[in-house]
Amino acid sequence: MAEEGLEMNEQSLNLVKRSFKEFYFKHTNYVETPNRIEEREFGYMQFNGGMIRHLSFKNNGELSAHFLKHIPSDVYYSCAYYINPTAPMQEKIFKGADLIFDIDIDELALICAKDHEMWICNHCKNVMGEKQECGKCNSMKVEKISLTCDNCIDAGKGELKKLIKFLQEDLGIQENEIKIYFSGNQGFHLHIYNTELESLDPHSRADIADYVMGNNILPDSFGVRKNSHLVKDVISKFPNIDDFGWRGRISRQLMKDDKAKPRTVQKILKAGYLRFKTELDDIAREIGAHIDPKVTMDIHRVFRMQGTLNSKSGLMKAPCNAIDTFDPLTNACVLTDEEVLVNVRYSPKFRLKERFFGPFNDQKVKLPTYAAVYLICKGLAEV
Amino acid sequence: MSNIQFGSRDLAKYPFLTEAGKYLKDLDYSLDEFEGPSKKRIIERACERILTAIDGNVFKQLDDLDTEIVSFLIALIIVHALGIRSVSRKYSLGEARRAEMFLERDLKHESDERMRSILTRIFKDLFSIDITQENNKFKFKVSEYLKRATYFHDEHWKLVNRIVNRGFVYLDSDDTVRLIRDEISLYIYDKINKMELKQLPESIKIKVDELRGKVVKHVEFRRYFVTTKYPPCVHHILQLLSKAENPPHSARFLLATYMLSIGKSTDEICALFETAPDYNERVTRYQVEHLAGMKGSRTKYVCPSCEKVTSDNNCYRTEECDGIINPLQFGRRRIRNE
Repeated sequence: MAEEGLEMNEQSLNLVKRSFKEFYFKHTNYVETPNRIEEREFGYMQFNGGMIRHLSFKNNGELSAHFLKHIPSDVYYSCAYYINPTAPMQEKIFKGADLIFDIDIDELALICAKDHEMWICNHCKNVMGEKQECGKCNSMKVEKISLTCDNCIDAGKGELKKLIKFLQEDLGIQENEIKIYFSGNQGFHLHIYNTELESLDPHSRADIADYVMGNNILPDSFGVRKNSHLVKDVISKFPNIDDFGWRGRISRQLMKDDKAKPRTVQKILKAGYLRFKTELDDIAREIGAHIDPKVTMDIHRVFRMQGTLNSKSGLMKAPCNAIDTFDPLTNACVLTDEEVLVNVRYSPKFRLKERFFGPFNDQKVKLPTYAAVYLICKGLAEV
Repeated sequence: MSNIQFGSRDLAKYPFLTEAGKYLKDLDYSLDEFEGPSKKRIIERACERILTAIDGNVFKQLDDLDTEIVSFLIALIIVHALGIRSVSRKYSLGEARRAEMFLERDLKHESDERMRSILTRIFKDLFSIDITQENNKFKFKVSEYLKRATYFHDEHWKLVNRIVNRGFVYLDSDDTVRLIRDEISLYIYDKINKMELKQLPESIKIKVDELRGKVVKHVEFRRYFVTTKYPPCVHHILQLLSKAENPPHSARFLLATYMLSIGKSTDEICALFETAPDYNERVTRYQVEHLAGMKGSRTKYVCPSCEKVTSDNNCYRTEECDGIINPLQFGRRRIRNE
């Protein structure tokens, strides 16, 4: 669930609200109602701040009518199914929950970040290149802002593909049980609808998260123990390159074919248990999927609703049906083209739809509404 | 495979199987007439089973097969009649360990296929889980595996250290046996709890009373032992628990963090909470492990100060506490003085 966004002046707030309202009026069909709607808890963030939770709707019509009336800045629903979705948390009675994954591009430590990552003072909106005390007002309250670029999207897609491979090949999840979305800001959400997995508790979900990330792989699983052992015993337990799951994956990283096994094992044993553990961790970091494990293990989370707008960007949480051809900077950019005049404090060059904008530095510019709202939501511009 | 015939020897080893019930019916035992020397021997055997389990040992006898099968059922009845939660748990675990011992032994010595069929059958009978075999491994659905294995603490049980493919986890027979030991224990515990008994025969009633005396002595001994070691605030919580009362959350936090700090294992700490009326093994374990920094945020929680203990109304200060600012100092002083 999102934290509250940056504060904005009244005219900017009005523009964003008006644009969101227009979107919800014109595009009710974009809002994708979750399955088993009556068992879910809904919640939304208001433009004037404050979260409304514990709502329940019987159908899509009821839900759309509510949001058309209230125009939320962000809409969420529970990944869990409850007997009493409107009751306080301890009385809801948990029935099950979708398994969800969150890939946060911001956490991937990409080299492109230096081109579009900045820090903004919450107090005076001064934009800075690095995290520091605000040079203008000395405030310590600074927030990281990043504009997503094509490299970010590609990296996010790469993580998505790795994750899907683990889910399908190892965990046996079918393609039709997986739904992928661009989060509307800087990430991807993956929802799994599988009746066997929905009853899993947070520990089991944490175990799945660790699995796809490759956390805590033990050398012992490869026959390498802390204490002394015979080389031939380790060779007999060491996985072949076509073995299932992580064993095969690691093996393929360590050797070209199974013939190289004796040499590989000898090298590992010479380096020792701890060195091999570090090597396993390094390989797992490289080939494991980078997800936010907290999201996966939290069964009571309310998650952004598909087909609704993200107030951190004005972009939509958009379905991604074909990873390679999906362009979130176009497909999720759903506000109008109508031009508005805004004062941009600072912005590096960025792309939305097929157009590039900027760089801007303290200047008044006419921008299509979708780009103006994008910069306003990021805290970089004002009407 | 599904047509496997269980002999009385199998049932004496695994008396919780549904076949054991059918077998008993054929033997024509009736609880109403449970008197006479042969029945007395069975009741004695049942008591032996219970006391062995309470002492933390495994009941290994397999001499008279019919007696072993019937004594299991009688032991369940006695444990139910005793109505002491910690005894029910210890007994259930003892029986599960017995089954584990036989399964491990048999898998080494008996016909592999036959034993594998028994294992498969136990899963089907007890937990309605269909497991299959492939290349000498047992195949579990990922969800079924996770529901059980996530409560084991060894990293070896984590999914990432398992062979996983297309929705299945592959286990060798040793790990399969270990995986079901806790399940068998829970199954037996559940069986004890759900039993409905109208009237017990006098011969069993006498044994229940006799056993209660022995068990209470055991608890008394533990309580006495406790008083010489722990600070009064911790001792008070242990007393509440021994009377099967519910200590408040802050007191449970104090007890768990104190015990962790003096080096008790999470298993030992979880056992302390067994007598709480709202005890739930899985929840307790999770919470204790959370405090130990093994789960969640990985933060290790420290024992609260005497000031905090006082503000939570958990302080039962005595003269012996003189000058300490944390309950942990009480323990250290005592150990030094002793």
